[in-house]
This record gives sequence, C-alpha cells and structure tokens, in this order.
Amino acid sequence: MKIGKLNFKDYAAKKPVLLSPSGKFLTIKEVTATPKFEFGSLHTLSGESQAKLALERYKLEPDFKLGIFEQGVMTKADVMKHIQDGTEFGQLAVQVEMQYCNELMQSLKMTTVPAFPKLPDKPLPAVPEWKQIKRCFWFRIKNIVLFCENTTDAVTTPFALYRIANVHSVFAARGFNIVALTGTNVTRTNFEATAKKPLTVYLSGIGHGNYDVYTGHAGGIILKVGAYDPAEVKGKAIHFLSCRTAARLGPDTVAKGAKCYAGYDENFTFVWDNPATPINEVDLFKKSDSIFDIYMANGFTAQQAYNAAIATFNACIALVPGTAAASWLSYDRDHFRLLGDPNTRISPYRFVRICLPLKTPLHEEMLAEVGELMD
Amino acid sequence: MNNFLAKQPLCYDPHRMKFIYYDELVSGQEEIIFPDSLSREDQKKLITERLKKGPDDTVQSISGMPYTRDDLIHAIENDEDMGNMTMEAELIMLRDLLRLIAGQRAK
Repeated sequence: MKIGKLNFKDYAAKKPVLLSPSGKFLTIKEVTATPKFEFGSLHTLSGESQAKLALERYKLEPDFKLGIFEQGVMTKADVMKHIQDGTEFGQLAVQVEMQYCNELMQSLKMTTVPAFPKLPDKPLPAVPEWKQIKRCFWFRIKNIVLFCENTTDAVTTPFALYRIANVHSVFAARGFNIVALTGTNVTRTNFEATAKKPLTVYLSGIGHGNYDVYTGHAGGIILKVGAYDPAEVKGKAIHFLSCRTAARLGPDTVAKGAKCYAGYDENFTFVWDNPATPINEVDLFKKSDSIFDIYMANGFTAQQAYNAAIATFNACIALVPGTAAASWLSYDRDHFRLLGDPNTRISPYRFVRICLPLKTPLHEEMLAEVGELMD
Repeated sequence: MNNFLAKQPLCYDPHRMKFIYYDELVSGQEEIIFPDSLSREDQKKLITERLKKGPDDTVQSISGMPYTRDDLIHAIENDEDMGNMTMEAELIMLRDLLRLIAGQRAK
C-alpha cells in the first residue's frame, strides 16, 4: 500500500501511529487524511498512553527475534512483556516506537524518498605521499660529561669540592653538558643511566676504589669488573681519582671499548695540610690530578693530558723538596697510568646527520617526539 | 728551601753509620750515596730517621686510614703495607732529589 511516497506492507499500514485525544488508534492513512495530526508529538502523551500505543503496534507486528548485544535474543512476546512490566528495556522500546512514529508522520510530507548514498565505483585513491626529498641535515649537539664526586665521605669531600670548583667549571665553559652526581646521588643506577647515553663522552670523579672497583656514596659500587654493561664505557674517555683502579678496572674498561682510562694502579696517597708550612700540601695533590681533566676538557689528547699531569706533579714536588708531600706526590706520579688510545680527544660538540626520507617508523616516532605535532 | 730539608738526612753511609745532610752534599763535603745501593735495613734506617726529623704530617690514602709520623715509623719497622708504600714514596723522591743535587754539583 502506497501512502505518500512510501510503500507500506499491509500489516505495517494497519499499525497505529497515533492515539487521538479520544483514545482511538489512528493508522498512518488516517493521519494523512487529517493534516492537523501531522504536527503532533507522541512524546507529549502520557507514559501509559505511549505504552498502550506501542503495545498495539507490536501486537500487529509479525513475530520477530530482536538481538541485543550483551543481553541475547528477545521475541515479540518478550518485548511486549517488558513494556507491560515497565522495565528499563520496556521503557526504551516504547521510546523507540514513539520516536519512529513521530519521524514517520513527518516523513509523509517528504517529496522524495531517502535514497542510499552512492558508493564510489572504484576505491578512492590513497592520499598521495608527499614528495620524498632525498636530503640530509646536520645538527650540532652537546656532548655530556658525567662526574661521580663522592661528597659524603670525609677523605674524598675536599677533593670533590676542589674538582667541582676547578674542573667542572672548565668543562661547562667549554660547552659540555655537565651531569654531576654528588651526595647520595652517586649511585650505580644514576651512573648507568647517563653513562650509557651515546652523547656521554667522558666519565670522571673522585671516590674510593680498589683494583677492580670504583665506588660512590656509602661504598656503593659504580663500576666493577664483570658487573657492568660495556655500553657504559664504550667509546668514552675515563679518569677516576681513586685508589688502585688502573690495575684491573681500567684495563677492563679499555677491553670493553673505553677509548682510554687514566688512574692510579696503587693507593693515591696524600699529605694533609700542615698549618706550620706556607704551602697547603693537600692542594698540590688536588691540582696535580685534576690537570688531566682540565687538559681533556680543552681538547688535548689523553697523552698530552697525562704528560701535563706528570709535569704538574713534578712542579708541585719542586715546591716542597725533601718533604713528605714531595715523597707522596712522587709516589702518586709514578703510579699514574694512562691506558688505551693515547690519541683520544673529547669535544664539547658532535654533529648528527639526519637524512630524509626516514627509513623506519621508529625514526618517524622519534622525530614526532622532538618536534611539534600538527594535523 | 723548606725548614726541614736541612734537618732531614738525604743519604746514609752504612760503613760509618752516618746520616748525610743536604748542606754536606751541596758543599761537596760528602759524597752522594744513592739509596738503591743500600740494603733494605739501611734504607729503613734512613727513611725512619728522615721521618723522625721531619714535621708530624698526616698522610692518608683515599681509601685508607690517616697515619701520623709515629704511625708511619711503626708501619715501616713492622713491614706493614703502609710502611712499604712509605718506603717506596721516600725512595722515589730521594732518587729524584739526589739526581738534582748531583746535577748542580757537576756544574
């Protein structure tokens, strides 16, 4: 049966779409014949009337199975029971019926029947990639220097404070990025995180040590033979002011890829300041050792830095001839070792080349992290 | 020149059991006797005497205990590790210093 522009099945044409003020069910055909009814809204009916209309509509509907996600299947009788019982689903079913009837009555005024949208005959072509330009860019980035300065120990603290004031400042002035672990932060966890970074080029500091180990706060291990990842030392230059580490730990780091290692293969021993003398003896020891770091910071080779340290030891010895300070400066000088490549140099900067197009999704993700994303 | 350089012996003559001092060496009054020519016991005598005549410095390794002058003498006499290290340090310094003096005397 055709009503307006729509073709109705017989049973559908018989289903009421409206309840007149007198309580009579009206079919779509009767509503069409009475234009004033077309402007009504079923949502203004009482809940009881809405349920009555919905039940009448369902009664004329052939049996069906209504599938609901997560709830299963309902028959026509099930739905009508829900409406009669006023359950949550029953109220929803009434609301759906009222809304549809409203839209159906409005649709009778349509001059055209809604049509299915036309699907593209062929799949739309993919959005074309931007033209891939083969080009490389160079970026200058700062290298990192990692210091582990034990400032929680009475013996190491004076040396650490001297190094912070006189060594770190030189590296900073040269443009290195400084990561200085001090106090309770001189831990293996903190050391490992920075040491492994490819930009970290120099490891240095003062701490207790022995033939196979360099330590940090409270004796905690920083580097120990057989207990570190080679990535922590590979490609780095290393200098620790510590006892004995150049005997086994130093060679081990070089074997694992460190460019060079400077340190002492026996106890680094010093003389505390004697107020009765005009020279501060302990400062001579601080100065002699730290010259290695200062030369490295200034771009000299490890061999030149080592030679400068030896020369400084000798100059300091000459300031206090015949004294205990001279003896121990001589001892430390003779136990100072340079292992690995003597031509090692470090630079405050390095250059990274990035070539387009990027080769892997991972590289694209990394690019997205450093840049600003826009749609 | 520091105050103690003249007071601490730089050489030891085991035949005469005599400690030799800076002024005697510079003036040419005494011959230089390098410590390597001495026995270990005579080296100990020389170093111990030097410590006794020197100031009461406090010496310490980064990973060790502090040693006073008397502690060091005790460590040398008992062949302790720190005593051996002290011997080594003193002997290195004396060799270098005596070479310098020998060079000055040659001029």
